[in-house]
Amino acid sequence: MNPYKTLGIEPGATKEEIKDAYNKMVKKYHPDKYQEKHMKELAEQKMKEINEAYDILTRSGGNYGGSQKQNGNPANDARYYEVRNLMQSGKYSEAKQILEDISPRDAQWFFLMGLLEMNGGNYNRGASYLGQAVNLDPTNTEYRQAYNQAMGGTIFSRRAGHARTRSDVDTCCQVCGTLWCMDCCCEMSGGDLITCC
Amino acid sequence: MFGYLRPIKNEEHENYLFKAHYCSLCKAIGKEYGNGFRIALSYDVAFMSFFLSALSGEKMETEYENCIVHPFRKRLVKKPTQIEKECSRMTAMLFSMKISDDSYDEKGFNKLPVLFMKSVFGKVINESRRYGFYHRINDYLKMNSYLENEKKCNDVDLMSNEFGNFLKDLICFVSDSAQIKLNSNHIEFTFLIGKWIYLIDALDDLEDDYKNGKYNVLKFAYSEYLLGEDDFKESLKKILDEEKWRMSLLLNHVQTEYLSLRNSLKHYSVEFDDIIFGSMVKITGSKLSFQKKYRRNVDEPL
Repeated sequence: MNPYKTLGIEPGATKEEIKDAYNKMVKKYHPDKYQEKHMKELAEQKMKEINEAYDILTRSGGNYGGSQKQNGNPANDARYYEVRNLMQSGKYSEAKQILEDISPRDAQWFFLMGLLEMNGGNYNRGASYLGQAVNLDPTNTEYRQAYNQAMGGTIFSRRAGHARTRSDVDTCCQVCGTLWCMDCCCEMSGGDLITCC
Repeated sequence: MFGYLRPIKNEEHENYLFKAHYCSLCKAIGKEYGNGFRIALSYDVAFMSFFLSALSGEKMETEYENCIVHPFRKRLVKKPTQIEKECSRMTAMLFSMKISDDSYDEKGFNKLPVLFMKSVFGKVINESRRYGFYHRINDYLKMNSYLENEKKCNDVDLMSNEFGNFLKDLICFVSDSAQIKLNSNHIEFTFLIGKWIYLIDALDDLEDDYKNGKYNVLKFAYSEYLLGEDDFKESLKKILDEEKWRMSLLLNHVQTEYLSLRNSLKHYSVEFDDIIFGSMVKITGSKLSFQKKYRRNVDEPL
């Protein structure tokens, strides 16, 4: 849950703004306003969310998500490299395990976790992580591109493009290898399949 | 006939392979569990049986047979194999256990027909306890009931992923029994298909669930629209607009996963192309654009 979104305010809002937004929301969605049972039930659930969001923001002193805005640790680069390799070979749960142990959580962490969440079918959370990666490092084109593709609904085609390129290369190597073998066999038996070599 | 995942009638070619599978599964259920159970068959289970048949690499044998539902014309039916047997067992179990589970939710007079059906299906439920997926179905029903009735879950991804994982596990059970090897792409694909089925069902039922006060994850995820000042039609439009993003991502995800496994479907791949790139896109589009009666307007029953 994004508490700012629930209360309809921007990240970095002051204590007064949070309180105002909370009071406005309570007035708007109070269960007593609704007569029908099923609408009352919806409003009660909405109130639960609003209270939870207010609790999170007041407990963090209006600095929710702010502690994550710190520079990455260069010692984590090797682990990020390992995570990317695991992701490329389709070992997503192992990649996620390594990622969960990494701290501090910098832009690259949010980018990779965003891709993993997307892949696991958690689209809302994935998009939110990719958005956080862009916020933390707005100049990085890789993060921005992934975020735009996620919001445009085409992020998975990118992965397919990579996979196809890899398999095309594999096929090319296989064809060349087969031709070379056939040429050698022909030459051993007195013929020649490829005359130039 | 219910379910969502099916080929939509196409002018270019007849989807005779899918039809033959559907009829074969329907007949297998009738033979194993009695004709009453044939109403439990859905297009979604037929799709899964079709998918497993394609992966098994079996040579499909067909013949024309009579059918109670189509008395004037013989239907092309695939000869049943272990896959149809396992899928019919899964259908009967799912149906019986769902009915049994529903009997706890109903009150007063509504409980009577459910209790009657429960006694009829008791034999199947007792038989199903011997199989591994009895416990998986039970776990899913319990978890689903908790998320729906107690937690009133508003996380659309969580609810649809739960169903995706459930379907994935069922397919793994069936494939194990039928001795078909699945790789990670096949498993991921079935998970996504389950997620899609759940979401399409939620979109399809949203209006009815709202009016009847029943649980629907979209109701709780977008309660601010339904509790706002707009009338219901306007709120529904806003919800469908918001869901376009998730559905287009999911279609992109399904198609990508499908392309990575397409070769393993061999000669069946043309029919699967038609379903994945044609029917799924059309059905999703219709659910997102208010065409509730899509099936009757555009499609013709198989």
